[in-house]
Amino acid sequence: MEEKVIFEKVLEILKPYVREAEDLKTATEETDILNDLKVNSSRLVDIILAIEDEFDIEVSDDEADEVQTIGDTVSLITGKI
Amino acid sequence: MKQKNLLNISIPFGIRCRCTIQKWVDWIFFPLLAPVIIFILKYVQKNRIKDLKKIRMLFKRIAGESKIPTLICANHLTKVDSIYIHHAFASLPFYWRHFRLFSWNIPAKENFWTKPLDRLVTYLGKCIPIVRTGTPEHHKEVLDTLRYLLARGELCTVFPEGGRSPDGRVNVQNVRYGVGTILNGLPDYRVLCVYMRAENQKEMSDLPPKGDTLYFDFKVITPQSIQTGRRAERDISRTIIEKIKEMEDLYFEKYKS
Repeated sequence: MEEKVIFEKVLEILKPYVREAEDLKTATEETDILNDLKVNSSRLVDIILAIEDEFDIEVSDDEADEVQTIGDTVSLITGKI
Repeated sequence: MKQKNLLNISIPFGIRCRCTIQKWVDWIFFPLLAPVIIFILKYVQKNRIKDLKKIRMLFKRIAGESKIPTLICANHLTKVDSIYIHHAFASLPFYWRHFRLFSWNIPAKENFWTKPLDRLVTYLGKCIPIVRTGTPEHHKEVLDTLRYLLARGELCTVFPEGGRSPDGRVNVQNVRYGVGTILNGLPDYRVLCVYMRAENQKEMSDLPPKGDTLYFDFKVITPQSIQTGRRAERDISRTIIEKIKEMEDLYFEKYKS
């Protein structure tokens, strides 16, 4: 799967959790999920679980803790599919 | 060095010692500090608990019947909710004799750790402060400590929403899964879901309105999940918050309709 497609799918997964949906329109790989998109930290688990379901992968706690930006998320997924 | 207890919960030796010492120190100072706090609550704040005797009788029956790990999960409206829970559940002499039933709490360090007096009272009140914005390692350490304490028959109180409800109502969507992390993997446990509210409490505040009577309701549940790992933690946490929400709906149906 192309990185661009993964990126788009990640944005779709993030959509219900971001404070301002508009922020996703300007999101790049460097966008920080917690600080830039103002995602509630307690919802990160939901995001990781949604990613596991969408891409049929398993993400360990340590790997999940490393995720900060959208780019990190895309790299994590790319490395597992 | 890590020590494993019977339930295979590993916890650093230093933290085990810290908890034991804190419990003993708290027990020694309990007769000095607790009456002052209850005096303030009753005669300065002038708050009362509705059906106090009935609540205490039920709590004694539930908490005293066995040492099954019991986690108290409550809605959160004021900064002093845990004090009111303690007061509602038992008298000071009862806690003095059964100090394990005086539950541990995990207040946010940023709220209660700034002034020396607050730090002292927090320490003497069986509290383990947590830094909400802390590292995953710090959160894991606090949650492991609570699991360890629960496994030893100590009671612990947590607020599944993680903070006070800004609009004064339980927000099911805002649940934090730490509560599920604490319970998931324990071979046996139960949750004492608590719903409490002062009669004129509209939204979150530091203290309940002065002179108000507080309503209390509690239910014992054993939330389970057929899933594992994070999914189980999510299921358990959601079951708990949904039960508390159900209790809130019942409150509004009974008293505010």
